[in-house]
Formats: sequence, C-alpha cells, structure tokens
Amino acid sequence: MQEVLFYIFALLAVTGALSVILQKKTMYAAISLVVTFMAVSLIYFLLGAQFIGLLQLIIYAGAIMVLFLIVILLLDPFSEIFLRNQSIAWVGLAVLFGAGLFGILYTAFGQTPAESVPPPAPPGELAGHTQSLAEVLFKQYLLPFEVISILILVAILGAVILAKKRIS
Amino acid sequence: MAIPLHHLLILGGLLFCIGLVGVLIKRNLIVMFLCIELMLNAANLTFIAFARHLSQMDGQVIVFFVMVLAAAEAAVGLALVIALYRTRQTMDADDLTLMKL
Repeated sequence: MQEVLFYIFALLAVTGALSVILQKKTMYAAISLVVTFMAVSLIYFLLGAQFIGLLQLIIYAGAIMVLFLIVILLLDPFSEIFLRNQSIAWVGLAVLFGAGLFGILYTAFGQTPAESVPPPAPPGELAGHTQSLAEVLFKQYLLPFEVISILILVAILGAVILAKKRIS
Repeated sequence: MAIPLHHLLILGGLLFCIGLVGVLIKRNLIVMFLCIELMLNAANLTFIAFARHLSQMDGQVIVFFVMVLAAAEAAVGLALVIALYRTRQTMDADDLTLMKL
C-alpha cells in the first residue's frame, strides 16, 4: 500500500517537474511547481517526517509560491517564455548533459552494495515525531538555529531595501 | 513493506536533473528561480530519505535549515528581479549583460 502510494506520488512529482520546464507561460510553470511540492510533501508523510511534510506544504507550497505568483502577476503574467532566443544545439546539449548526469547518478545508486546499507529501520516510536525533532533542533543544533534566524532577518531587510522604489 | 532507499534516491536525482536542465535552457529569471527551488527540493528529498533510512533526526533538521534558506533566497532573489524589471523592463537573462544599472 505504502509502496503503491509512493510510486503514484513520485509520478506526480516528476510530471509536475517536467511541466515546469515545458510550459509556455510563467504562471503555468509556477502552478506546476506547486503540484511537485505537494507530491514531495506527501512522500515526506509516507517516510514518517510529518512535521517536515507540513512545513513543506506551509512554507513552500504556501508562502514561497505565493511570493512567486505575486511577483509574476506584478511583472508580466502571460509572457511567452518557451525557449526564446535559444538555439536548438544549446537546448540539445543541455538535455544531453542532464541525461548524462542522471545516468551517472542512476548507476551510482544502483551499484551501492546491498550489505553496506543497513536495512530500513521500522518507524520507531520517536522517528519523525515533532518532539524528537525539537529535541535535536533545540539542543544539538541550537547555535545554527539562532544563526539562521539572523540570516532570515537580514534577508527580509535586504528584500525591502532592494525592492523599494527609489525616489530621486 | 518499506519504500526502497534506491528508489527515493533515484527520484531525488531525477528531480535534480530536471531542475538543472531547466536552469540551463531557460532564460526567464523567474523560471530559472523556480528550477532552483526544484533542485533544492530534490536535495531535501534525499536528506529525508537518509534520515528515515538511518532513523536519525539530523537529516530532518538540515531540511528545516534548507527550507529557511530557500525562503530567504526567494525573497532576496525576487526583490532583485523586481528592481531589475523596474530599471530595464526585461526579465530575460540574456538582455542583462551589464552590471551597471
């Protein structure tokens, strides 16, 4: 059951990702990416990472994509973006490069010796629960957590300053 | 009946490669950003897969940090796109060859 669901969600994620780079309009590409984010979030749920799955839905599919959609609406929502000014040779080269990289990754993952990988652990009592995540996050990773909160504060200030209309 | 680790890694690799091809063949700044978000998501997926596989929480913590980084990157990047569009009236990366505004 879990495996069948995983393959359905994986197919959905790959379809959405392909749609991002094949769509002709920016708006449709952004909406396709939301589909991919939701499918990946459902895979997180299947893997026992409920809190991260919810964060994926709220932050990625919610906040970040709304930011993208607002900027797209603000600028030019339905401009044609499909391979403008691109030579066929360059596109072919890029696709070949991507396919080659995927081939290398595929063989590398396939050649991992089965005995060196420990068997998948059963979903333990604490695995994926928010409490154990919080204990690791706020004890072992407390300093990185504080540093990254400063980073996002700086990013907010930078975004406001960059996007501000200059009155000269 | 667990999901095999190989298949999760292959899915992550496939999403990453699709995002990479998108960054290479697209010239619209916003679509390039979307593809970068896709690549970050593929990396997150492999982190979660290994966190489950090793039954440790560290992978999930790193995914949390990556999400915060992605939010910061999207905010600053989109602000840059808006500022560029205001001064140049274009979002095509090939038209933006001068550093001077």
